[in-house]
Amino acid sequence: MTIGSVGLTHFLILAAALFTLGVVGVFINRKSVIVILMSVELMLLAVNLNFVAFSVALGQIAGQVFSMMALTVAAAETAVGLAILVVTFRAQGSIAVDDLGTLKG
Amino acid sequence: MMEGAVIHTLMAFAPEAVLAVVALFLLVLGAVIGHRSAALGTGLAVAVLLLGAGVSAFLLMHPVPEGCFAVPSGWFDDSYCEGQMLPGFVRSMLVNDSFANFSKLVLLLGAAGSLLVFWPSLKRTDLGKPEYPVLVLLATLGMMVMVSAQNLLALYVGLELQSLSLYILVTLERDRPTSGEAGMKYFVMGAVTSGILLYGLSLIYGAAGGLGFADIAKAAAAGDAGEGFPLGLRVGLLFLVAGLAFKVAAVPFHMWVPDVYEGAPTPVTAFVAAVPKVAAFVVLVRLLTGPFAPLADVWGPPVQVMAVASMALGALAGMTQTNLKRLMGYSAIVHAGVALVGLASLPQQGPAFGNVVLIYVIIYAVTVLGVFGILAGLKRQGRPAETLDDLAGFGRSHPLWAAAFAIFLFSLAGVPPLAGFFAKYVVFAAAVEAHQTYLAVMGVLASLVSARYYLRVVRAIYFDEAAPGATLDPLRSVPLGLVTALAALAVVAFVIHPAILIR
Repeated sequence: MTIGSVGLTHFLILAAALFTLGVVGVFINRKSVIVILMSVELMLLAVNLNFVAFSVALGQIAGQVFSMMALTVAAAETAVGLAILVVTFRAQGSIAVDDLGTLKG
Repeated sequence: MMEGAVIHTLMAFAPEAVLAVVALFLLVLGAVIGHRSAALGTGLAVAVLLLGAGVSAFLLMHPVPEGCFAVPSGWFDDSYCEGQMLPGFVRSMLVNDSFANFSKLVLLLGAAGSLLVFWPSLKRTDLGKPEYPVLVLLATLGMMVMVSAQNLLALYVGLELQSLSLYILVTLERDRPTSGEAGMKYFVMGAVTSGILLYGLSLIYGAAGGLGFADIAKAAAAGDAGEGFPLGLRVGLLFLVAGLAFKVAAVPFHMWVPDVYEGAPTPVTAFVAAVPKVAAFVVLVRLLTGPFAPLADVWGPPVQVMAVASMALGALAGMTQTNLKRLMGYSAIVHAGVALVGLASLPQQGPAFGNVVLIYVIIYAVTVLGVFGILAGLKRQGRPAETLDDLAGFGRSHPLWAAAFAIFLFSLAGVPPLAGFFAKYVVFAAAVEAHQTYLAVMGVLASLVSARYYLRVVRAIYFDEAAPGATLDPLRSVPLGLVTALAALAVVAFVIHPAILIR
């Protein structure tokens, strides 16, 4: 698969970079849970890019179908995540990562 | 032709289809008539789950030819399968073999048991909600798809269906801050690991050139035969194992376990602790003995490291706990480690040993369902009894319940005539046979150390005195008693026929 001089490897490197950014975003963020949700979204988009690139390179449709499914699941996941966020905010009055510390030991 | 194909698919996967329909029906019912439908919905869900378990047991006893639509041969006549195959699309996604049917039987019974455990909580306004049975049904459906998956897509969708339902279940007690916090932590860590798992799936797809387990097996066999495994397959496998390790609560993906066990409402903890573990281990066994069997050198070392780390951390961190639910969380980590010891000896013991690992996990699930079942009903002056101090005097005020509780704890500790002992014995013996003696030694050490904290609970039940005027409330619940009695019976009666483990 080549678009101009852009090949499969370029897409894979881009996806790996996006995925790494997402993971780093989850772990170094101490501010808000919403930022974590955004980072997770970034990880999932990197995965979708991977699937579509492989799908085109392999010349089969299955990877693109998977990326559609992954998008749908990601939407459902975000809905559930935001709902849990609202519940937590109502009960605790904060969604800062550092305030999620009642349970420990 | 097309019509027949649809009907055959529906019959082969009747439990799944009925579960999905009933879950959606109960969702609408809950929206229309509100809280009053909680008891009705729970009853109906238990009935459907038991019915599905019956169907799975029937299919297990009358196995059908592979890919055939699931009416046992000989029911009509032996040639019935001819021309009655499941459509190719379904066959490439899901399989209905005896391993899947056995796992489904266990999952359905476990889900029914945890709904019965929920029964006494129906009266509580903060917990007795109509969405509870709906979410349990959907989570069970997701797990059933997981255990029969033959394709990465089916595996992923099933896994996410159960994960999303579990996140909501943990957060169900909305007014209590710890429930929300536990749900938040579970969700965040779950979302990150599902992203990691998904990235692994994309790499496997690229390396194997297809999503089906058959494609992966072909690529793995080709790599085994000569040119070596593609990098994508190896890295993807590690990411996939990491994602499933989160589900089974293995170190270093264990951080959610103690928090979720403690923060979730106790009936939910019973479900989360018992049932999804079985599904995750079924998937692990299916993948590691199936398509990824040739890559044992890739997944073996990480599994061994996770096993040792889980047993060590779970045993040591559990020592200082005073909250019983949290303590059971660390106990879960130890048991996940022991089950991983079983997985680590799969390459030497052969695929059939996967059944033994599965039985180990099932015994653990039954025991832990009993423990949380009793805890779910136990109250001290109207408040849930959760700490060791709350259990003081339990043995005197509720002799039968306390006896069952002690049986479960002794089984978890691995005391001889009980089921937990045989399970651990077989796993450790297999590790020694597979020349992984250090795993067995680690396992025995972890069992000894963790036995100390189970015994601490037994001491609190039988020898500690309750503070005056702070006795435990009477515990009367037929569904709870039924689940506890059956679980205790299973744990005790296992000694009659321990050979099912050795077979």
